[in-house]
Formats: sequence, structure tokens, C-alpha cells
Amino acid sequence: MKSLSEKQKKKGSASKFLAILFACIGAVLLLLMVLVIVIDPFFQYHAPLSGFPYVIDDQLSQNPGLARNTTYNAVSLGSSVTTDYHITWFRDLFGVEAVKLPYNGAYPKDLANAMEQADRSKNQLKAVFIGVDAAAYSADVAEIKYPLPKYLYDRNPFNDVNYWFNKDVLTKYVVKPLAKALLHPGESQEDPLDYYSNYPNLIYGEEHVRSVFQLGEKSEAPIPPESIREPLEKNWEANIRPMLESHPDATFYFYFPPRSILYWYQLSWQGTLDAVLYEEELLVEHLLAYDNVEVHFLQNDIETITDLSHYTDETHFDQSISYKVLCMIKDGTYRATSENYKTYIQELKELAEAYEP
Amino acid sequence: MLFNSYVFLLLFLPLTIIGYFGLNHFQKPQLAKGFLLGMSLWFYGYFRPSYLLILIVSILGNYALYRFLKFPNRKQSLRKTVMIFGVLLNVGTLGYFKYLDFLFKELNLILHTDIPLLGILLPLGISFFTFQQLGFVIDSYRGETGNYSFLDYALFVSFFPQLVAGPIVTHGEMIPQFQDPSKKRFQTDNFAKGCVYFILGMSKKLLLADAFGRAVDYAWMTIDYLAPADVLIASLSFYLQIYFDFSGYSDMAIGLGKMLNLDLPVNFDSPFKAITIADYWKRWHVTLTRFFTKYVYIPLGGNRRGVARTYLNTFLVFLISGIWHGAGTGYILWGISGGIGLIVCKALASLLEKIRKNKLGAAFLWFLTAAYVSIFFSFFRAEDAGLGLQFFARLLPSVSAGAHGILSDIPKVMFDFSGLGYTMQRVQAPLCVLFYAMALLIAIRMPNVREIVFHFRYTALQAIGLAILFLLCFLSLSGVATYIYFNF
Repeated sequence: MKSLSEKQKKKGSASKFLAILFACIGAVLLLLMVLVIVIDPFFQYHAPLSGFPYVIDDQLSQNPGLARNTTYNAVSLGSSVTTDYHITWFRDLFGVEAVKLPYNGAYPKDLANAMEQADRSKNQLKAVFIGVDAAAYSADVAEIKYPLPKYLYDRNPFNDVNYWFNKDVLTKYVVKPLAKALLHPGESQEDPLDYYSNYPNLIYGEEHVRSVFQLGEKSEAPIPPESIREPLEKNWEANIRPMLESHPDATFYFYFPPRSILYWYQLSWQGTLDAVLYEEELLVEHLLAYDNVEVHFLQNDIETITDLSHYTDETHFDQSISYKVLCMIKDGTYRATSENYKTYIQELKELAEAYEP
Repeated sequence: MLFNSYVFLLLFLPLTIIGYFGLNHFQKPQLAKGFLLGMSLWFYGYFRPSYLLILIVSILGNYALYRFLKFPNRKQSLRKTVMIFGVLLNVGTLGYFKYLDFLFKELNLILHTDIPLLGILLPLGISFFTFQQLGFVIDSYRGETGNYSFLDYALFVSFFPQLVAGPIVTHGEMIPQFQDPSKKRFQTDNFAKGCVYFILGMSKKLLLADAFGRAVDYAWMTIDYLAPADVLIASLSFYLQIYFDFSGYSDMAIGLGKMLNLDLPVNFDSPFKAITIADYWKRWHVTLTRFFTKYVYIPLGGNRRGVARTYLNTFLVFLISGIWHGAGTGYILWGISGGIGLIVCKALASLLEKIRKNKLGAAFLWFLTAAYVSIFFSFFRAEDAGLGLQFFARLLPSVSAGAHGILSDIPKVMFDFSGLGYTMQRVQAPLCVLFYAMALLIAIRMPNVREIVFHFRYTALQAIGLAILFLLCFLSLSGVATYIYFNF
């Protein structure tokens, strides 16, 4: 008996061991949870803390929180070409406080998802800016460009563990900026809502655009325009119409961003130009039936789309063009009406087909 | 449900422990067993609810066979027929889910036919629970099974720690434990040991195996750019990955069993320490070797029918093992390689024994064994033998001439320091070398988890160390890899 008790003594107490083990684990997890909730780098619980140097570079993770927990009365939606606006431009040109909720390569369902998040906030929308990639509107109604981290989008509080104890959240979005805030207190910070206001490391200019441009294979059989009617109608019904009708007091600014002439030429080469333009036509027909909708054919700004010096590839342009986009919307330079929209489309078609790269 | 998931760690496991011991505490042992069965089915169904149907039908069918075979006064010939039927039924089920599409694909390739593939989804862990039940049916025929209730049997098959990736347990080692009243009370010592097992196993899986996994995936993705040195590193990396992954999973399973006062068998006994291939097979996936020995090797005659037959039996066992591991020619080649290695060891047993007595000789044999195992495991990773050969062809200078290699990329692939700034990124490469050295040291020189637990002392320092390991694992749960062995 004595030797057994000595042996046990030597081995230590299991219950004390377990108590220390679980206390350590519990204490650290609690601390991390509190840290993440207080700083809230994905804005799931509150608006950005004033002066904290947030790292904002992940649309999928940070857009839903920005949509739900910041104060604004305008939303900017769309794909990558809608990311680099300064929110001050919306204030200056339209007198609204905007939040940007872009999703690279966004499909209509991505736009609907973003609006759903915005609708969960208490903000009353006065304006919604939507950059339209017509080619995406014939996708499946449920198609999204990237899988969403659902725990940041749903209402289930239990799966927030994925947020509290996420190593990337802790290292990149909490510890690193926290260290920065502590080491460089008082350093001026950009407005967190103004994120993505420029893309770093991008090269602009005609030479660069032409060096990266790939025309792709010439199509022998162009896509019949009528084939996209059904998917477009489904997207309209599922993702676009409900958005318009649930915000009767907001003005919707749908605009076709000025993609370069190379983009349109590429569509023509690949046999999809007629289908995409038909898609635009159908969409505009639907949109113009609403009083709270404006449609802007910025792709018809020939001066912009033919000057490749402001582009980094056939699609993406620099911030000066982004500013111009908002100015043209504001001025109504290419505003569509039921009388002129077909002319806009026809002009673009002729331009693309006549273009020689 | 994965062991390394929030839902398992924060909900399933606490609920299971509290529910099981709580019901036993209130003298409801049958209900407690039923609760454990229910939790195990939830664990399995969490992956895909439709899988549950296959598991339940399989349990019901095999239990019916058992009842028939247990019934006294049955004619021997009828019993044998029923046993064979049971074996065929289990093998047939496995064959249908695991190999039919593979067979069609190969036939289409060889005969230039166009047999449509059925797109059958492989239920997780089917290889494991089918083998367990196969052994049970054979044992029932042999009269080696006791009187088991349906609840005991169903729990034996579906007990969640071992359900999807083993260890392959026998009814004889599990059901008596389910029935043992002394195991129904919460025991702090067992629970603590279980925690140690579980945390160390999870650390092997998440902190070691997954890092090697990223390097391996990268190498196989960039196969056309590999230089000879990359092939060697990738082979070693996969051997390390699969060892830490699979043995880590087994340790977690054993730990979970231990928390519930249930002992699961050892599945890995430091295979990296093996001096010869024969030694290796005694240490790697021990419960599978045990299964094949009992149900295939010995019925084929084992070593009782002369040398040539012994070698043939060995070869057949490994061929079957290769096929069992997966539907792919790479697995078959892996099995065959393992078998040939063992046969050579058997043939040269006395010579090897002499060499290993010398320290240098033993080191040489160890190196040969590790190299050989790394090579045949690469075919396992390839799944397709052709791809495996393409991988090893990169060793030939004529094939890999001009390839710049991927060695310099591996640190970045293994450790993502992108969020931590330039200073940390600069130390990636030396850290990576250290990481390999540490992993090899753990695998070759350090005691394994079973040995660690056996000699474990409950000190505050140990508790803090384990808490740190757990936290590192817990914080890495976002975006972790799935277990390699779930598909077998």
C-alpha cells in the first residue's frame, strides 16, 4: 500500500493537473475571445474603433460587418472595378455617406447577398450604386464568385467561434495592428470605410495592357443572344427585382463601367458580343420601368475606353477613371432613357466590330 | 464530424462525456450505452446523413448473420454457407462503393469501352467498419463470439473514436469493456491520460502532418518542375505527413476511448524506428496487420506450407492490403512493394540479423528501410501508378534537366507568415530546416505517445505545456486539412 501511494505521489494528482490544464486553456481562450470582440476586425459586433489601424483587405470577410455595423445612407455594389472609389467622392458629388461592398467578379447573387447584409442594419438607404457586369447576369441565380465564410453572414451566434479563435484573425487582423497601434500611438489612420481606395502594385499604361492582353480563341459559332434570356430573367426575378422593390425610397444608379475597347473587341472576337449586348438590352428594359432607377452607359464614353493609358488590363482602370465614373453618373452624361438606350448599345457594337487593335 | 473541429471539441465531446457518465451515475447503464450509440451515429451522420443508412443497414445485416450463426443446432454446412454469404456480402458492399467506378474506369481505358461511371460516393470509414464486421461474422462461424446484445454489437461497430479511421478493433476487446461495470464510473486518472493522448495526437496531426501536407501537395502540383532533390524531399515529407497524420488520429481515438474508460488497441509503435521492413510492418497500422494475419494470412496457410508458399501468402496479403487502401493502381503498387520488401527481409533474415548487431550496420539498415518506405509511400500518394512513376522519373537528370526545382518555395508553402511581416518571413527557411529536424527527431528518437502517457507525471509544467499545444491546435482549426485516412 505504501509503495502504491508513493507511486501515486510521484505521478502527481490527475485532478490538479486537469484543473491547471483546463484553467489555462479557458483563460487564454476567454482572453482571445474578448480581444477579438473588442477590436472586432471584421466588424461583426460594432463599428470600427476610432483610431485603430484596421487592416481592411478581405471583402468576403469584412463586407458583411461593414454592411451591418457602420452608419451610411448609400451603398456601392459591384465587381472589382467598383472597389477603388474614395467614399468622400460620394459625399462630395451626391451628398451621401456611402459604404463600399464590392465583390471581385460579383454575380447578381453576390450583389443580393451584400444588400441582404446592408438590410440587416438600421440605415435608411437614399442611394445604391451598382456597377453592372452584364455578362455575369446570365449566370445561375445562386452562383457566387467565391464561397462565403457563412459564420460572418448568418445569424447563428454559435459559429462565431470560427471568428474568435481564428488564427488569421488573431495574427493578421488583431495582433499585428494592435502592435502597430501600441508602437506608434497617435499615427493618423485612414478612414476604415475608405479601404481599397487604390490597388497597390498595379501597372497602368497602353504598353502594359497590350502585353498582358490575350484575345483568346476566335469563335466560329457566336452564342445566340436569345439563349441568355431565360437565365437573365431568372436573375432579374431572384436577385435584382426584389432589391429594387424593397427599397422604394432609394435611388438606384445602375451603370455600365467603362471597360476598355479591347474588352469589347475581345467579346466580338470570341463571339459573345451580341449576347452580352442583348443581355444589357434586356436588363435595361427591366430597369427603366422603375421610377427610382437610373441607368448610365459609361461604356460609351469613347474617349475613356479608347485611351489605354489609364488601364491595367482590358477591364480595370485607374482611380482617375473611377472618379470620372461618379462624375459622369452625377452629370447624367450617358444616362439612358427608353428612347436612347438601344442607340447606345448599337454604337458600342459598331465600335467594337470596327476596332482594329 | 472531425475530431479537430469546434463542434466536436466544444459540443460533442463535453456532451458525450457528461451524458455517458451522468446516465451511468444514475444507474442507467443501458441508457448510457444507448446514448453513446446515439452520439456515435450523430458523429457519423454529421459528415453526410445519408451515410448513416449504409452504416445502419450494415450493422443490422451483420447482426442478423451473427444471430443465425450463434443459433445452436444449425447444420455445419448451412453455417458455412451463411458465413461465406456474409463475407461476400461485406466484401461486395465494399467493392460496390469503393471499386466499381474504378473498375469501370480501368476497363474503359484498357478495352476502349464507354461504360458509364456511376458516380458512387464513398461512405467515410466504410473500409474500417466493413472489416470489423467481416471479422465478426467469421468469428461467429468459428464460435469465438460471446452472447452480445444488439446494443453492444451496434456500439462495437459504431463507437465514434474508431469508426472512421480505426484502430480496427475486435469484438473480443471492446464488447466486454462495454459490459464491465467497473468502467462506468468517471475516473480522473483515465480522463487525464485520455486528454494527454488526445492533445498529443492532435498536435501531431495539426502542427506537424498538416505542415508537411502543404509541402507535399505543392510538390505534386508542380510535378513537372521538380528537380531530383525535390523528389527526395517530397517523398520524405509524405512519409512524415502520413505517419503524423494517421498515428495522430489513432492517438486521438485512443485518448477519447481512455476518457470513457475504454482501451483501444495500439495502432502505431514508432514505425520510424524500424530497422528492417519486417520490423516496420510490426509497427505500422498494427491493427490492420493483425486483421490480415488472422483472416487472410493464416487461412491461406501462413508459414506452415513451406517457404515458397509463405512468400506467396505474404505477397497476397499485401496485394489485398494495397487494394483495400484505395481504388487506384498506386495503392496496389504500394501494397506489392511492401510485400516484396517483407519477403526479401524474410529471405535474408539471418544476414539482416547479423548486420543489425553492429551499430553502423543497424544505422545502414534503418536508412535503407526509411528510404524504401518513403519510396513506396509515394506511390500511395500518387494513387495512380503511372503518376508515381512520372514522379520518380524526375530523379533522372535526363528528365529533370533544366528544372529549377521547388526547394526554395517549400518554407513559404509550409509556413504562412505573410501576416506577420518581413522579419518573420526572413526566418522561414531556417525555421523550415529546424522543423524537419525536429519532426525526424520526434519520429526517430523520442518515445511515442503511448510511452509518454505510460511514464507521464501530472505536473503543473506538463499541464501548461499541453495547454499551449492544445491552444496552438485549436487556433489552427480554421482551414485545416481533412484526414488522409478517411477515404480508406
